[in-house]
Amino acid sequence: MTKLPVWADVVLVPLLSLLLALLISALVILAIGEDPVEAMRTMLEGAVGSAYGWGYTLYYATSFIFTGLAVTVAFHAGQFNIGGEGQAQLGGLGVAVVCLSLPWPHWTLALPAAMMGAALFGAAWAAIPAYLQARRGSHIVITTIMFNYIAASLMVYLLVNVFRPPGTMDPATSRFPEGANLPTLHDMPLIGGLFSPQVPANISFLLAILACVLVWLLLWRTRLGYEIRAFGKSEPAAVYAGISPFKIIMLSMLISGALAGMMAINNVMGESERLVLNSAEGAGFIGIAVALMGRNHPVGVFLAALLFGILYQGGAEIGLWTSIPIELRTVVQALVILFTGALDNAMRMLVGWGFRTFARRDAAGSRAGAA
Amino acid sequence: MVGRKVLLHVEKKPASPGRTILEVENLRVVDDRGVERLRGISLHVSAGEILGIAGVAGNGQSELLEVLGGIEKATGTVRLDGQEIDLTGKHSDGRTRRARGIAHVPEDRQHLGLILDFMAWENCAFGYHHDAAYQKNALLMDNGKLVADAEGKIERFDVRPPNPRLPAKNFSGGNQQKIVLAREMERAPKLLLVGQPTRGVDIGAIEFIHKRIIELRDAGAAILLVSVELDEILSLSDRIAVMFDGRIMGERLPAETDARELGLMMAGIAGEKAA
Amino acid sequence: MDFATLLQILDSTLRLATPLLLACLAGLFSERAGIFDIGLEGKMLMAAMASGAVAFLTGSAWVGLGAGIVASILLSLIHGLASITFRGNQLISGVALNFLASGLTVLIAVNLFGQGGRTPPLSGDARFQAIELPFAEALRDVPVIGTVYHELISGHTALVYIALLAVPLTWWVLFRTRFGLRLRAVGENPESVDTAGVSVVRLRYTAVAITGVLCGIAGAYMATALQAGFGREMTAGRGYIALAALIFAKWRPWYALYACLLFGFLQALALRPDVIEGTVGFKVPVPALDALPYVLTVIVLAGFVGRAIPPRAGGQPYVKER
Repeated sequence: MTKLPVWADVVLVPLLSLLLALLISALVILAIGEDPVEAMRTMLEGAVGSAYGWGYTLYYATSFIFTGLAVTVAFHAGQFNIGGEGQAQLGGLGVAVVCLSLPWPHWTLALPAAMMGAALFGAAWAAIPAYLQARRGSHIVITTIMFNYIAASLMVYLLVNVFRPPGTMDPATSRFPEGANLPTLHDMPLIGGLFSPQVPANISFLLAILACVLVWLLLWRTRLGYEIRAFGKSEPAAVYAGISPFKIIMLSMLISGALAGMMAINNVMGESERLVLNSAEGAGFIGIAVALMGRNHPVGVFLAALLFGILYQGGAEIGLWTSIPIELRTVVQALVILFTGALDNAMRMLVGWGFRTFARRDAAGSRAGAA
Repeated sequence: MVGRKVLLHVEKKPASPGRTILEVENLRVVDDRGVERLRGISLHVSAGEILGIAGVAGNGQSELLEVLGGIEKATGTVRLDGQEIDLTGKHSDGRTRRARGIAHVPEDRQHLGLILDFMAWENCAFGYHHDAAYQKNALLMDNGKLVADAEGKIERFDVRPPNPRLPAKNFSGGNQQKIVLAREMERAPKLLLVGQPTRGVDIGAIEFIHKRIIELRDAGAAILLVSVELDEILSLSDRIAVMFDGRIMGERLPAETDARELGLMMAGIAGEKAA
Repeated sequence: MDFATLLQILDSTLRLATPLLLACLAGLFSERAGIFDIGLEGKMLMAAMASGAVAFLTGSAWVGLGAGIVASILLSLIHGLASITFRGNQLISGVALNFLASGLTVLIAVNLFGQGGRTPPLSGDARFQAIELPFAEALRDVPVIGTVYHELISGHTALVYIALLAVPLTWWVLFRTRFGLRLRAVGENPESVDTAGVSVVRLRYTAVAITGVLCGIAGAYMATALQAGFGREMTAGRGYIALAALIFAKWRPWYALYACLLFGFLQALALRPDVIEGTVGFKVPVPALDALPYVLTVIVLAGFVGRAIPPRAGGQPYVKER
């Protein structure tokens, strides 16, 4: 296999994966008798063609940044956290508990408290699988999946039996107090004019960008990050260096769970303003695709989240305006995970093959030029 | 290989051992499968002295290094400079061992000693990354200082290519080993644990590494050397202990023994010789 | 709980354990050969959709079964390509294929039938019918034994018996044939198999294909026997529960049967909150019962019921030494 330059590995491989994923999706669309070009146009117009579309795209991207970062932090420690979905739902519970517990006078007070709640609940939900992995060697992939299902059952129980206001049939909490409502991007000074009123994208987007910076600092500028990355690369070497596997597994998973939980600031506090069933809507899983596509780097995660935001909002538009089912999003997401995470060697071979072909053509070209 | 002849003539002055640095009594290790790997090891190493452990690979030398380096748990008593070390791993691991002045050059540099995907500068602080000198403030590490520190180490230990931003996996075996040695030896440790210092290393680097080990001894460090190369043991050690099946078969002075006698002891045949 | 209720619950235990058992044995072949497969779920789902759709279109449950197996094998081959040929991350490949199945099944079902991702209800020959075992009717009045034979053992679909027969068959293949010996060796020490001149790649692909076949039967059972048609996400985590059963069983066929029966029993109990209330004396919330198999799986994984050691080369791509 040709050794690729770093930029090719970081940029070309994900892009090629995305291209292939889109290509296959186009074939799927063709196979079900629809027009892929039209679908693509609907998707892009719906996602980035208007201020309204951007409002949704950025809203989805915000959630995906949080869950993508969650997968990234765990991944650097060698832990594959598939439990982001459950952790995000529990994060929603944390937000709801905080928002409903006090008649919040202003969002500036409610937001930090709700963030604490979201992070704490999300982290708590990651803590048990982490502990079982660290102490008992239970495979974290399977335990986190199980915890997604357990979270779903728990939320059904809590929303139906505990939080549902008397007299309503809807399994959801009551509305959060006015003072807990977050400003949308339209309400913000300076950039507000760019967005239409009623956009779901809210101040959490800025928090997500901040989270990217903080995760970058954590991983590449702190001792804990150094230890997390070392442990993720080689457990025996980490132990040699005096790094405690228990500490790293626990801390990386707690941070991961907290990040996944923080997503609830965006969707529960910022958008629905109450907690409903299945609040995370699959964003926890999309975090896996986002982290893989973003090459487990906060900058990459940010860009990949934006891309998936477009895909998500655009996919919704496709579902609305064409007869292509909205599940097409899941297919694209699956293909991106497959190509960037499992078939990445094949992608590298493809890029390497392209490199060699160009190099040969270049050489032939210059020889011809010399003659 | 012609290189091995060179080894026999390591220039060194006779040792002048100082106070006892490492005392090991009745050290026992049982592995996951219940097999006893160390069956009551007792030994001591003084300041300014190299104790060489000879033995066929797999007779407990690795476990001895790993217990002393804080990687494996054991029962028995280990004292460093007169103070006991916890062997259960509850209050002691690789980090606290380093804080006590134990440096460890592991037998397998690629498996233990380095993170191959980390760059050279990151590896130069591996295990010592909590050192106050590497921190910018309470939260952040000072990567600039780490790189500068690595540049110094690379120059003094003649690591090639002299590029601290190259991943460790891109260096040759000898240069990888020099990175590990620079990291562990420049700390002026009280005790240096060193396993297979020249395995898979080219001839020029072997000489260089041997000279550095002698220099560290002359600076007053206690050195526990494990090697399967008898020549290396014979030429570097001030005393030689032979291990077989988790036990120490006996101790010899290099001047009073030869490869034949050591070989017999390594095979478990105790040379009954009045010490 | 009276005898009749017990029989009823055991009867549904058997029905619910069948897909788990098939998927569990599927995982057994794959993991014994050193390929982790958390994509059992997706393969089952894909097979359920394919068999439900084809059974409806052709009116034959058996043709549907064939379609289910083909669909499942296709996913298996992608997994093989990713994890054997291209030495990719087997866990990620499994996750991706689960999502792929989750999306594609709905996409195709909506496109074919336009019923919100379901296939139309199956009836008649499009669905596997219960098989009356010989003498079941004659023996039904014999106390206990006859009743058990008639109510519990007789009267299931062919696929239930196929699943049960797959257990001794798996045992025989793995432990009594040369193929089985090589398969197990390739999961423990692929180098030795390679040295013996047997192709690691071909063995692993064969194992992965067998996984596909068994998952295909499991999925077809879901859509054309247990229920009358495919519904979105109808496997509901059974693939993962099967994985847990596999770990619980420590990768051994007979123990897989016991583990799956246990998990099936829990699922059967969850369907009968009234029985549980009658037995334990208070009302247990339904979500708690739904969560029970997953909770138990976690407890199993936590190793409180014996430590499980997976095949040694599991999850690692094999790189031939040159």
